[in-house]
Amino acid sequence: MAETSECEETPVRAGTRDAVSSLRVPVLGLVVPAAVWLWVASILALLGSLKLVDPRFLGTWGWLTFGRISPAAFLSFVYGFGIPMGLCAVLWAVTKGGRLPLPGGRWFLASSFLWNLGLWSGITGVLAGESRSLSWLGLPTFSLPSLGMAYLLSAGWLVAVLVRRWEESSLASRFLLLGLVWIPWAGGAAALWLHDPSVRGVAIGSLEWWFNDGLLYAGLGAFALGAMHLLLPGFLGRPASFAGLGRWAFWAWVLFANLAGMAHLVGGPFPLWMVSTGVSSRFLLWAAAVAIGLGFWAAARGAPAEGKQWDPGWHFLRFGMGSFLVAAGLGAVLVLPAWSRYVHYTVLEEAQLTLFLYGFLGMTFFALLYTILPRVLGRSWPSVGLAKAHFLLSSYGISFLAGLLAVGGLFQGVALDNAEVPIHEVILSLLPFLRSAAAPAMALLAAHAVFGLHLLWLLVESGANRREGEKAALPGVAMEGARTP
Amino acid sequence: MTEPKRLLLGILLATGAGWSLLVWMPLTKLGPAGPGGAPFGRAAVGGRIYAANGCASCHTQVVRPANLGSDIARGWGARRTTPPEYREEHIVPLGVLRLGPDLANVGERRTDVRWYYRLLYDPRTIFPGSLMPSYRYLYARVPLLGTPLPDALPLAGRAALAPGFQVVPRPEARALVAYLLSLQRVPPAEADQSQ
Ligand code: HEC
Repeated sequence: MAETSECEETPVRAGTRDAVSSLRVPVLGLVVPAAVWLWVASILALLGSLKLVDPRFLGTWGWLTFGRISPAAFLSFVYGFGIPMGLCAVLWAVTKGGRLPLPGGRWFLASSFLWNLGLWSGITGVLAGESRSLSWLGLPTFSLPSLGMAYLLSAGWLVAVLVRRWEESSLASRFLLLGLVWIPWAGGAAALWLHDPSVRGVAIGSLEWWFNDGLLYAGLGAFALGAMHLLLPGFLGRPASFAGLGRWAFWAWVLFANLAGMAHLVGGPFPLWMVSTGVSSRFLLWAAAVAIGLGFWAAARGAPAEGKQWDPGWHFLRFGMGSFLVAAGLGAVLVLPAWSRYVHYTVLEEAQLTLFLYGFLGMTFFALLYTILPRVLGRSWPSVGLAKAHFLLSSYGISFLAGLLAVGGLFQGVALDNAEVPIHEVILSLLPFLRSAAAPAMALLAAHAVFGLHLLWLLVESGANRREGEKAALPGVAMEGARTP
Repeated sequence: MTEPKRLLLGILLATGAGWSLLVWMPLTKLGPAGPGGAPFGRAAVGGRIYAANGCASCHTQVVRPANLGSDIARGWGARRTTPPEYREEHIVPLGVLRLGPDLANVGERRTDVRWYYRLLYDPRTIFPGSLMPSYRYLYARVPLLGTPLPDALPLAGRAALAPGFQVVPRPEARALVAYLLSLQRVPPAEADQSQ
């Protein structure tokens, strides 16, 4: 694995073990609940897709109606898995990969507790019918104070440490900083305004989409891009190429992520200048994505060929970057009026979202976990087979899911555009795709189950390992990443 | 200024730019208020039921202009929807996906309350094989005393109940239908003329 090679560059020094073990509690406080949320999200998503196979599935119980479980699935993935993983990446960055101690680790535990409390109440609220149906702003009001406090508790701290230990001209720190501050600024503003009765009318629609695209691109997307830049030197021994281009892309990202949301409203009740700002922003985001991708692939090409061991982190990261480029491209092309006419409001847009969420964010965050957990726990992943199974199941699952939805969306769009075809027949032409999509959804659930088991195994092993280590009290027992059979 | 400070300022300014263009401008600049003011009473409650049950996962409430889709040709509205028609609403479910017809003007083309009650109770009695879920949890099964209540659903065949019972819409279903009936988006100018 790549860790072994990095070990040689940074030999285990006295004090490093303390630094790494100060990360153990906060990282596990983020990762373990996130793994649970990943399960919740995949189970809800699978139930949702089964409901489209047969709407009578699971009867007519209000809690599990399609319109509630499908937003609940997306919300649990984004807020339960995505944001904690972003914070994990920041933790890794501010401790310079476990080399510096982390002050105030206990605060993270408190924050993680509050966050999960808020989220459980929020998702339960969505299922109980308390949502205002505002996409990523759809969590009910009563869950917001707890979520907000939790985020401020950890993010405020992290921003302070990140700035104190700032690394000049590091792209990773820039993107992570963007994610850290965009979410509370925008989320706080949006939540306050939505609860102001004088805010009404179409502004609610544009507010919703400003936040949706912002959260995906400037929030979670920035976290994932930060994680990518953070991990790259570990895999390749060098940072992403074209640093100047990367800095330019960063600023483009900051600005246009805030304007891209309007692209969703093509044809909607908004003046042309707003919609065209959105469409052009999506294109400029795509350009920035290509610039980032160039830096990534150029660095990867010059890297030494892969060692004999299969490295899960690198595979996940590569898949993540591939999905990122495709998703950003689709995000731009699909909103062009010539295309939007056909594909707007079809499942092709869901395909793009799937690629972005599961393909880009999910896979990049898995790359992060596969890389940092062995070092934090002082124990390498127990089974290459399980890691491979996780990778294969999720990469095929995501590709087929996105592929089926994309082709189905084209059929749906062409049929919708022809006013002679009644809506019932439009849906009939789409149904085979929706029904087959249940299979990749199941593969994704299996992938996440495999990951959960693997994580559990790692935790159990590392717990045993730690007790032994404490008994023996030998320095350097927890050799990073070195698997002793 | 140090690098992190510059970054923080830049991010704040960019977020503010997005905010003022996408939230503040539409709020203050987009058109005069529509006729009739905000939905109130049952229809307003119904809007919340519409949102809470995720009808927007399958239905939109936007009529696009003729060059951007078949919305008008399908009879979902006589013209594209404009900002003033949403001016007073607190629930603006423009929607994300069209697995069903657009509902921006559904109150204009479907006007029979009972039709809606039957649709929401079991969409497949109206559209056989439809993908729309049934919303039976918005209804109550109550004992039948004497003649059926005026709103009782006419259930026959497999859906028929044991004798001595009837199915009536709960307040949630009534509110939701009131909301659906209120969905008739007319631009202000035209509404003035018709008065
Ligand atoms: C899984 C997707 C789905 C969900 C969720 C859904 N619907 Fe539908 N709806 C449909 C489909 C599909 C049709 C068209 C019926 C057909 O031809 O099969 C439809 C038709 C309708 C119609 C008739 C429109 C017309 O012009 O004939 C109304 C009204 C309606 N739905 C209201 C609602 C309401 C209210 C909700 C939420 C409580 C809802 N729907 C939730 C899929 C859905």
